[in-house]
Amino acid sequence: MATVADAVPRGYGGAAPWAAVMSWVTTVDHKKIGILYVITAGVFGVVGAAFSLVVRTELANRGAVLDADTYNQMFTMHASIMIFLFIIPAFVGFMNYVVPLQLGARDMAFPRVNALSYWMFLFGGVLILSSFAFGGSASAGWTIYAPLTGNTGANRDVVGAGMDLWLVGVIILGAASTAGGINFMVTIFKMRAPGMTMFRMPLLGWTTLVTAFLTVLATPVLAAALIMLFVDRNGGGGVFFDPASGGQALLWQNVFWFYSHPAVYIMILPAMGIISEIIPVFSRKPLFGYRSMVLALVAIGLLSFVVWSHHMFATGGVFLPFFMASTFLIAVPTGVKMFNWMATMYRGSIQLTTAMLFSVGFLLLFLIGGLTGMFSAAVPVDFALHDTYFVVGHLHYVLATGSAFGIFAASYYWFPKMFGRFMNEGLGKVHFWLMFVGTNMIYWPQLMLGLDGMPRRINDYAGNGGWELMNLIASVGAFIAISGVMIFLYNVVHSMFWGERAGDDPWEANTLEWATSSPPPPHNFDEVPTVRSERPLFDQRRDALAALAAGAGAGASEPQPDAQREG
Amino acid sequence: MSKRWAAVAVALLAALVPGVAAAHDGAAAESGDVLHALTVWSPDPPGIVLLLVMAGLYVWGYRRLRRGAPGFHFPRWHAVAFGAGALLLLGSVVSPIDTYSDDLFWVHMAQHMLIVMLVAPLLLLGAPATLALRASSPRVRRSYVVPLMRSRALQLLTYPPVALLLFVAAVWIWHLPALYDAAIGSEALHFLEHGIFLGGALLFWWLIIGVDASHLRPGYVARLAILVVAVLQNIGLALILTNMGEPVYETYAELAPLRGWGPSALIDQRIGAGIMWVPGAMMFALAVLVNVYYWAEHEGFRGRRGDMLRERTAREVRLA
Amino acid sequence: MATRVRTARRINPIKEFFMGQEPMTNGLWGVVFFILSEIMFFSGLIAASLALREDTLVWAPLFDGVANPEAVLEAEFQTVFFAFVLVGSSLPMQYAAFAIRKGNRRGMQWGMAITLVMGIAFLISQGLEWEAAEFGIGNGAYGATFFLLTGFHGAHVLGGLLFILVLFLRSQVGQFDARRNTAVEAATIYWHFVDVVWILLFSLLFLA
Repeated sequence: MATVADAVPRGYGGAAPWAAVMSWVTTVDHKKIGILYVITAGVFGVVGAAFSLVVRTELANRGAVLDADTYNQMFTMHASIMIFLFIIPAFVGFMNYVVPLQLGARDMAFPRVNALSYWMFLFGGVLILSSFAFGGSASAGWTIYAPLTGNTGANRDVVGAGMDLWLVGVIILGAASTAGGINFMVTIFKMRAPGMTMFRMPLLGWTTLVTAFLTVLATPVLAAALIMLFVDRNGGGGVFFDPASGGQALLWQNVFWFYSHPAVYIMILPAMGIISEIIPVFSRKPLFGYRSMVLALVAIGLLSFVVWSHHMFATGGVFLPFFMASTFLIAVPTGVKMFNWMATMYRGSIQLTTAMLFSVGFLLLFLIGGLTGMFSAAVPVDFALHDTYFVVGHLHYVLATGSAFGIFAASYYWFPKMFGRFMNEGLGKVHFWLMFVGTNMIYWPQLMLGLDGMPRRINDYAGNGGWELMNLIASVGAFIAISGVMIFLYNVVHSMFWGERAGDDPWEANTLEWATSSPPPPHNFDEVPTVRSERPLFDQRRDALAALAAGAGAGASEPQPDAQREG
Repeated sequence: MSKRWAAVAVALLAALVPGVAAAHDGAAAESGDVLHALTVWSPDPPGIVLLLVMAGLYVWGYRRLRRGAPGFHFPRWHAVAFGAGALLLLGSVVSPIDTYSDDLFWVHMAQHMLIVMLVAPLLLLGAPATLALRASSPRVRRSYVVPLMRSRALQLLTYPPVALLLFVAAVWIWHLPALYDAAIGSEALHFLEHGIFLGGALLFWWLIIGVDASHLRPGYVARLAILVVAVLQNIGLALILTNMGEPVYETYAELAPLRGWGPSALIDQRIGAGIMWVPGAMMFALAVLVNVYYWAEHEGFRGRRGDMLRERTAREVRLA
Repeated sequence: MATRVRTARRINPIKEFFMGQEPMTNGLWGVVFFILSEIMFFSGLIAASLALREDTLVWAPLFDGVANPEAVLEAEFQTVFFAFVLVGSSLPMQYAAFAIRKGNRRGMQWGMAITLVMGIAFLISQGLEWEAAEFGIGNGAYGATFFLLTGFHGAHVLGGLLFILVLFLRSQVGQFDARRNTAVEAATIYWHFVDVVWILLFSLLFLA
């Protein structure tokens, strides 16, 4: 009969409760910081999901529940939280935990900067949420389009202190992720184990690198934009972004999307990296086309800096054909990646663990997200669909069933490494199917509603043409998906203390994080491993098998280590 | 082989002769008719002469190498690349592109992009430095080629931060309205502008393209960093041009209402900026991808070498 | 002792970054990427200010809705002189970096001290300029961009000065030699960056 005290995972407890708390507060260990990131992001994510339920309830009842202003605050904060406080930091958390281990490093390049990033992230997040205590939060959508947010002219005092808190909070978050990005870049360039060349690095390392580059190049521009908006709102009189005072609304959109389009890739590339780790392991095959994966990643990263104007087609301020063409171009590297994942699974011995289920779910639903993106990139279609629920459906297919599925997959996959225990697979599968059904019930009707012309960011609509039914389906779907998330949360807490014990390498995986104990010691590796290929652990198993065959002869009948098929 | 080349060159020149008659006097607006557009060439004697000298030297060296350098293989694709670059350069400075570049900003931009993004890298893919070193006679090599390549000036120009800075400065400074207008107005300045663009681009691509050996060439990571800087400055300039509320180059602004065909000056400017933005960025992106590919090759080689060294050390440790 | 200094590995960050030589330390890589992000930050501000200057209704400072082109700052002797002071302070800082590469700590300290004095002089001049300006951050596009750009640049100068001051104090207790000079190199790169930004901003604010 295990007690809670016995069940505290190895390596994360202290003698006195106070010491245990302090060991987390003062830690500079990338693994603890990673877990802090993931858990904090998870808490913020639950808040964001709760806001989305409020939004869905309102829409299912045609605006009968909330007043418009509260509704605006709800959807604004739902988006802001999910983007800045859930998806990005959750990925940062997993990358923080996994990447140094995968590289065979002892820690990040700058451990204390790493801790600083986390605490800045927490502070910024709390600052943004604290706006509810100061007369309401930001309410102009997460894109906070100026001059709507400008506190000038007709918009004076429409958005209050919450907007300023939002601006300051996001600037702090941006500084945190820029510092984190620099940290990841140096770690990846400088801290790899002997023999781990750049092109033997696991793909998660590559996605982290590209993501870090995007962060470091794009986030400072967002900071500049937010600072200018802050000046506009506080004493500047709208000279930057309010046309009435001589500013340019289009300037805001340019500086904002210069960050926010790469940010879309900051949010999806890590998910791609995660499933690139998971799919080969559970297909028992090497990743198909490693080098083309890297090339595709780099291409996506570069293109993301070229195409931001496609968010502004409807403004008339951009030259359309080029941005349409270059946006279409992004489909090419993305297609390469999709093809490689499918080719990895093709004729593999597929194990449908929960992590693998979420990865396959990612492939299916991200495809819908990508294709609807191609729709919206076509200028004539975009003119018709701009600012409708089609866009909402598209971005949710990318972010919720793409990025969030990646986060869930990573949770199931690396949980045994983090806590030495499995998550419950049965509950996990229930979670997956609830999520899969639920999310499709939300977002597919949204695509339909968008084609039917329902504008986004409204809390009420005329009762006609079946919009009520579609919205009702979406709202029911939201509650189904959330029930899945509840099961997931229970599963996490339960498994952390009472889950089935996992060994060091429960999935028989290929990368270095599985070469150390679960959870790893503070110094990560007793002996820094040597790497000879992309799959060092597979090499070890193969060598062991060869030694066994050579030493004991062919008559050995004990269960042999799994030999993966050679690519 | 090379005789055929010479024939091609002569044929091209012959094709240009009627163009001389239709020589372009600068002020008159051309028409928007495509068929007419194909007939107006603007031969530029000093440019053609320079180009012919350059191409002639290359062909001479190439023939010499192919014939008389046993044990050294100079691949044919170098010559193909160089030839393509030279032809493109010729095409961009004498063809209707040049004629129309006086009327339309976007054609002028396309011309510059051709020179910067295609001609310069193609010329460098022709391995001109290797050719010069290998094909020259020992005396010429000793007294001219090697001292030139070892000269302080060239070392300074190809020093990575300097080369990058010069390239960026060339692009930005020539796009200042005053200089740009002046260049359109004066043949000599225009020639200088194109020369500086080509020179800056050669310096820039010299850092990136590793066909000729250089001890000053950056490593792969630094090359990628340089390319990222290049993409960003490219987009920055294009963004400024796109977002200008009015035409910035007076020549085109004054010409647009007179010419009576084609886009308005503002739209013209936006198309030009779009050409700089998207196709320009694409060329840099292509360079990034090629560089990543060769980086992978290089890392693979280094990795295998490292494995061997480590295994040998481990064996020696076991034996000791 | 002397032999040790001569055989010591010396750090030349530009050469190491661009020539792909391996032993560039983590700290220097970090500074390079940090400066990359800083470049993007200033690019954002500068691009916005350029866009406004081209297209805004009234560029000159506004006083109660009336434009006063007289208030636009010109390059006067003080501004130009202290711009030269700041940009010139790159020289003693680079001298400090060269000195410590050769193990000459005293030389490095002199270089840093001169840099500190020149940097502080620049900041004081900047403060006087702010004091003397007739307009504030609320007086139209010109005022807003002027104070944003000079303010953030000034903050970066201050940050760089603090960085150098800390290094100076550390060297007083005997830190840094020819082998351990990463922080000095980092501060030098950063200081050059701050100076180059001022060349850009100065041309933009006072000359263009």
